[in-house]
Amino acid sequence: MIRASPPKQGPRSSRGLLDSRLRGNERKNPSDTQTARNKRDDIMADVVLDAKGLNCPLPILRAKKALKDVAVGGTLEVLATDPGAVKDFEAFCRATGNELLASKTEGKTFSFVIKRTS
Amino acid sequence: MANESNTKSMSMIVTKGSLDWAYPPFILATTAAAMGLNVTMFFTFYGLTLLKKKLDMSVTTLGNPAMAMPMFGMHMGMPNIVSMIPGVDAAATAMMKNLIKKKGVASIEELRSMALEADVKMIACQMTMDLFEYSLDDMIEGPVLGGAATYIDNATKCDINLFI
Repeated sequence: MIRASPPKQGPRSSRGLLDSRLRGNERKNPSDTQTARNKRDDIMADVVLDAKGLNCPLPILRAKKALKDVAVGGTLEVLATDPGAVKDFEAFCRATGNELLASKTEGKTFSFVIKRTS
Repeated sequence: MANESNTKSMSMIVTKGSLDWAYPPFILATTAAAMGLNVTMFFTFYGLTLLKKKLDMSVTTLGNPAMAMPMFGMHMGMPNIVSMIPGVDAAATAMMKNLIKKKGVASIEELRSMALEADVKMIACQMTMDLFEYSLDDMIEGPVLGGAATYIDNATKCDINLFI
């Protein structure tokens, strides 16, 4: 579910094999990544956490754990279906000092991009 | 990292051990710990059963007037007398556990181990342990024994103090 690959790695190609097995994580090879990046004009996160189907407080708790694997200055994208997560991630970032770069709703899925500041 | 004087803290007294009452303390404790607070949980009376190695919590429809489960497309409550029927409380417990699993809510075991991982301090009330003849060997690894003065001393320094 969560890909905890070292975020400092430049090219995405070395993550190819592992990625294809992870639910909700479509980065199969560099060309896919490029297309994905061009389609979305927002931030590409270093680590993606799929918390869909999980209810409070799991999205926050999993995000907290996932942030440990993100380098300082790196970003974590969280996908969730819990509507409470919208306010929760705002509060989480306020309390921990991390930055909430994006908070979007795509149908029933909410996506948040958090930048680790310390 | 926030320096020590900026870190908030929370303490709570956990007095109940039924399945529905087990959630608030653990959800609050784990979330607060995830948000950087120092959390202390003081377990007393029936809250002590939440520290047992093997958790066996249940709910009852007796004396729970606000309990209305989603059933048959609407919310149904039960009159107290129905809880006298053998099996009704067990069914209510099973129903609650099913709902919890279906909605992707964490189990108490999972929340409890996350709390311990997050360095939530757990204190078991010495007096009620003696009262109900529990020993620390019956409990999971992690909680320490303490008394009321331990709780109060800790609570005076905490920003949030809850009685659950």
